[in-house]
Amino acid sequence: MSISRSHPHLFLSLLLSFLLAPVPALGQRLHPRLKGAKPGDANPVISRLVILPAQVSFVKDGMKGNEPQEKEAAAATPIIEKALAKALTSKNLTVLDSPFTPETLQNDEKLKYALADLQRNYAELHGKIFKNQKDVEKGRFSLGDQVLLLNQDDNIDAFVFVSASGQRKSGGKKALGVVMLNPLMIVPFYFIDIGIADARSGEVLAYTLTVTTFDIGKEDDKKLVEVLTKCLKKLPAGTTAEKK
Amino acid sequence: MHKHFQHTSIRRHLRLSFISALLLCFGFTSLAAAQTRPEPFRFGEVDLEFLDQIKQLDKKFGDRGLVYREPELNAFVDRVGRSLLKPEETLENVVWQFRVMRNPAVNAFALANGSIYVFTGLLARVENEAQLVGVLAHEIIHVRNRHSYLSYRSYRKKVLTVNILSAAAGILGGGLEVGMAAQFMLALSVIGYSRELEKEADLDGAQLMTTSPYDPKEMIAALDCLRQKYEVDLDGEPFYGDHPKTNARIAYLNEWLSKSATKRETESAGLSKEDYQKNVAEVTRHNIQLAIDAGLYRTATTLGKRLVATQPELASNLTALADAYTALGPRTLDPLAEEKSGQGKKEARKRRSKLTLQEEERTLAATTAGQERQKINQAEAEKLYRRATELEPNYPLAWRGLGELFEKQKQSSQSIEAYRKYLELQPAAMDRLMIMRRIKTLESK
Repeated sequence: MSISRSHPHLFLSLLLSFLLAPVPALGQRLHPRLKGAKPGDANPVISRLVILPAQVSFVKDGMKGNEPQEKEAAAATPIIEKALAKALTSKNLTVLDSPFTPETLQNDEKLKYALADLQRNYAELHGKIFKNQKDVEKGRFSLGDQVLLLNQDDNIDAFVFVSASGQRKSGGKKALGVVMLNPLMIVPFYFIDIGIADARSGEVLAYTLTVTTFDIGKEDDKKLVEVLTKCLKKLPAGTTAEKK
Repeated sequence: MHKHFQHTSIRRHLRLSFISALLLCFGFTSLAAAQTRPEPFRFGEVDLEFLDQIKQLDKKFGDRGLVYREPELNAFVDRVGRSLLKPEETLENVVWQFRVMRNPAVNAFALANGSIYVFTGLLARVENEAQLVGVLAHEIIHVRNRHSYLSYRSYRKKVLTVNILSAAAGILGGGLEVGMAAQFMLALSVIGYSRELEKEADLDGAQLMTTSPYDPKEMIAALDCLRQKYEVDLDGEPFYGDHPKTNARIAYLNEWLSKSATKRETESAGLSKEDYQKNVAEVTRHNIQLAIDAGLYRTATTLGKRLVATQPELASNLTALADAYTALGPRTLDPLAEEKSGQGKKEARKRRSKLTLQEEERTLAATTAGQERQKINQAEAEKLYRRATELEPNYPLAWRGLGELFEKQKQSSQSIEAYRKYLELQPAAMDRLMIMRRIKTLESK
């Protein structure tokens, strides 16, 4: 009797682990405008970017179910944003200081709403992008010119939307995974999803999704920067990153 | 052959035993959870950790721009919520806060730390202050009776049982069926438990209202009002929903009222629809924009009509309704019979899952019927914008709306004129750059 019939759950888990583990990026899709761009172009499509506040959510998968990890997610948020900035800078793109710091937003309710609405609209659109990733290459998706509400000085080329989610495993769950020979109970999974949208037209210029098994909330972000750099590999490099 | 049969039979017997054990375990844990609720509630380490996480979540809502801030409305909701609390009452690890969530859904929820969130969609929907009190009373009971902690404890116990049984099944050969059965039982028992708590929140909430100046009958009126659907219901009420069905809620509340409600000596408070509408006018306008963004065009239009019915001479109300009509575009205000049919819903679901809102709009507007409806809705919108500019010539948003409407109708010069008027009235508008770019594009056409 084959393992797929005698132990279907084990077989599926192994298959999934095999499929997922070696893949650094599950897809990198570029808008035709970016696809046609050449590295070091005199007039690059995007050069100055702003990373919008990352949307991070973690849960801890334990013997007693999923535990919320809001505090851990909040702590990981700046780490992920900084790692992404490093990955983009390594491509000679300028990552501008975010105009959406908690301090700025605290004093500007309208800006806070505009940012929340844009992120919500992106999240809504994201469902379609995720299902039809290839259509990014056809230039199908756009957030509309509402993006200009957050680009009032017209000095930003693109906004970077990043979301990360992860399921950490408790010691007990790992032990159960060993007993049940189920790798999905042992190995933690983290998904990072990045979308880049034109900060003037709202067009979605790039989309990438990656999955990793190492803890992306760690202070030491070397591995994370590596993974992010890999998953942004196709993004055309800029000339020289500006000094801010 | 016989041996194989025997082996299969033993395995089947083992699986059945595991499933029976599961049933018993869930029965006992549910019963235990229902019967052994600690009185008074004592915080354990897990509860305190849970509370810490909840506080972080609460903070995140505020930091992320999800909480609506309008001093007068916030004060109104706070006053209404606190009318149900005794001044001397203190509850360990609870700081009562009544907040408004920027979300067009008709909903409210309570966090274990005492933060109660009412959605803008719900505020705009209920008809009077007493109905809002009904919703808040339900949420207060969730906090007061520590339902979040109890649910979380119950969930943890059940998952632990599932995991232990799954491990045992893994070792002894219970197989995949046991694992699946365990997960299914877990889902059902967790939902069953929360339905019990929801019922308790309804009944205790109604009881709480009897101690306030508000009539508990308004809780039923709120449920009745909230079940009205302005959009085609593509999801329906899921059988695994954690709230009892609305009809059942109304029925048991009515039964409770007939047995328990005492006759009031004074007149019930908060029944005026007009006063309430005025209190929530600004948040309703805000919610109309949120509903438009979320593709809830019929909801936006219906709420706009309610606003205008209450204060028909207010430019801001007329503009909000006009915005909703513009967004309604190729649709009718009330869903057509064909949209409500099984086939119609299937097609709508398909459209929603495949198309973006803009693509959906274009698809509908490509039909003759869609074009006709669009013309009617746009004419209505123009009439309302014009009326708004007559009443208040310097109301900028009406001019912006007109600009957008004319742009949709491809009337470039009129659109440019309206946009310019908007910028003249509001030179420092947040969307200044967006409008200027639109003008530039229209000029180049």
